[in-house]
Amino acid sequence: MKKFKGNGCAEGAAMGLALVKTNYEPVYTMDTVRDTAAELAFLEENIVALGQKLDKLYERTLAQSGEEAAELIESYQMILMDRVFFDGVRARILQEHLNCKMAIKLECERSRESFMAIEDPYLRERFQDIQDVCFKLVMQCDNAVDSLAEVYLTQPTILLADTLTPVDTVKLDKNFLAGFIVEKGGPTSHAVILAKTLGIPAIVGAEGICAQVENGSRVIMYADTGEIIIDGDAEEEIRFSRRMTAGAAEKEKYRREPAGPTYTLDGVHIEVATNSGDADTAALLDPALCDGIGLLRTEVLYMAHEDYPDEETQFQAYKSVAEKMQGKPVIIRTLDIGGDKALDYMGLEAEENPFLGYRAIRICLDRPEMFQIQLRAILRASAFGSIKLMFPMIISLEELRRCKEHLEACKAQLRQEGKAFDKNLAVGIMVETPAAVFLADQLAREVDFMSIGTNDLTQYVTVADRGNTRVQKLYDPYHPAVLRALYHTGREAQNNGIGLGVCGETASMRKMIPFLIGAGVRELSVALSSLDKVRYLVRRLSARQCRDAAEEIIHDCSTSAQAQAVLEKLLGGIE
Amino acid sequence: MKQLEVTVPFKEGLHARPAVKLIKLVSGFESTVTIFKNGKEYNAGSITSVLAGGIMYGDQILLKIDGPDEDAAAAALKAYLT
Repeated sequence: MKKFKGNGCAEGAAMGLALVKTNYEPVYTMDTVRDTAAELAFLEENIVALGQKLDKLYERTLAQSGEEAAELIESYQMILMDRVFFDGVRARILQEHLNCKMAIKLECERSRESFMAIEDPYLRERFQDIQDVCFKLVMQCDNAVDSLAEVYLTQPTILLADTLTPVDTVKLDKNFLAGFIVEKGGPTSHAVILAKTLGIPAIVGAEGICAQVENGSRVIMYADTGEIIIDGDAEEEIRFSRRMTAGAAEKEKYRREPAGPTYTLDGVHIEVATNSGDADTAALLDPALCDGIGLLRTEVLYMAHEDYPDEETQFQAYKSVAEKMQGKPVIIRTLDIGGDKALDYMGLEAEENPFLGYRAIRICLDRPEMFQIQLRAILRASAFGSIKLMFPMIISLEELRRCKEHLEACKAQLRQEGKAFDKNLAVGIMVETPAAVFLADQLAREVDFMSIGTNDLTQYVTVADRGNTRVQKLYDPYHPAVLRALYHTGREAQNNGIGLGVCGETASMRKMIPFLIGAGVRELSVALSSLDKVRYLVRRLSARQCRDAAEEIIHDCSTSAQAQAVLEKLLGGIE
Repeated sequence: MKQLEVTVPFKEGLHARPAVKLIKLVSGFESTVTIFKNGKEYNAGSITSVLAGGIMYGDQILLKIDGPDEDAAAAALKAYLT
């Protein structure tokens, strides 16, 4: 039995047989060939063989994953058929007498030069595809097996790899994938996104694991602790089976929790809302099951189009959400996007530090026309429901004031045009920067509410990038500094009599909920699937006890573990 | 030989889907199609060439079409690129 540890990024526990993606490292030599005709024929042979594999892959992808996924394979096929590129390879064989593999490699390198000169980062990245095809072709020349391509899964399988690309996973039968374990990557890597979509666990940062696990070994993984057990003994198996039963029981327990307004044991009303903005959540939204939308992400509108969405498009989208929620509050957050999400028409350049860069409200204030279009759309929609407006990534009072100036300008325009809007539109900010936390007192005086974005706030406070395996462990929602930031914000919200919500992942974390309530948070906005869990827990907590626990943590605890122990103790009384 | 001056109409430039479509279109004809941008030339039948051209939205490019079916090819290209 061997044990490993990583960072769980997609929830759950799973058991299955290991399938390890092996990294093929080709050996290149500068050996020349005498019989160039034979070498050319060898090249043709391999191009044909790879072409056949790609054809089969295309058919399978089209059937399993649809047209868009298949297009990726199609562009690979086109590269393989590219006469200009391969004429270059053939020339190197004929004229320089180079061996086939080296000819391919050198031609690929030469291509790289022209690509690196391209300004546009998205176009530049397309070189990746050419490199991939060349690599596969060289592998074909060596008759090496692509460990993932030839496998047909027949049993629950846990995939282990250094990284996983969309091409790796597109071929696998999703019905038998039970979990992913990757050595590199973070919460936004392909493996994690796919795992969340499939509802299976994913652990990242398990460095060195691939070299130490054989195909077919029995794997047990727990995403919440990041534990990986290979060929576990009977004790581990029992532990897993208990966990599965408990997990199922817990889900059932939450599922049975009735909807309706949520009050703590001592009668404090906590709004349990949901985060939305993508098509899937929108389709499943049911106003009877939540107290409103605590965060409506608007980026999706901008990402779904090939140009800026116009006022009418946005207005219709916001209006329909407001109407769907039947009078329950909808908090709309203005565009929160940055260079890490390629939106070609916006012309956002790749940045070295996108999270410290040109994003969100900075882009909006820099592009007033675009900003005002969104504000007008939100204002007009406010006449059709209960809408609140929220600005992301605020770092100063000045910024907030500038945003409000734009808002007033839009209101004046709409008044002139005779278009209706909610005159009492509530305006709030996301507290997700250390600056906003420090200035919470000033900001609280000029907003109607605040909502804490714990994901980003935790990154900025602990100075740790969740996507960086080396420092992922430092990202800790229970870090004393983060808890203090939350507590401080709560105090200032209370001092100024404004509402405080949380819309990050921590809002649905079992141990965090009592702390948040204790710090003064009165709205928890979570993923649809967590609504019942949050209601269940809140109804079994006493706000007063939560407050006492929060005070104890702030004043007496100096480590994350201590804080969590206090919270665990508080929760101990609950089933 | 036929010539065609176009301003690239695709928001994301000539890459991925539009490039694949262009090449499929071009391979359907016997004529060779060359794209000229900023004095450099790119073979419109080669995906690596087209991608390496880094042709972006709004770029002014010149297409030279040469071959027995150049009229049909030019017409099809005009339809696709405008």
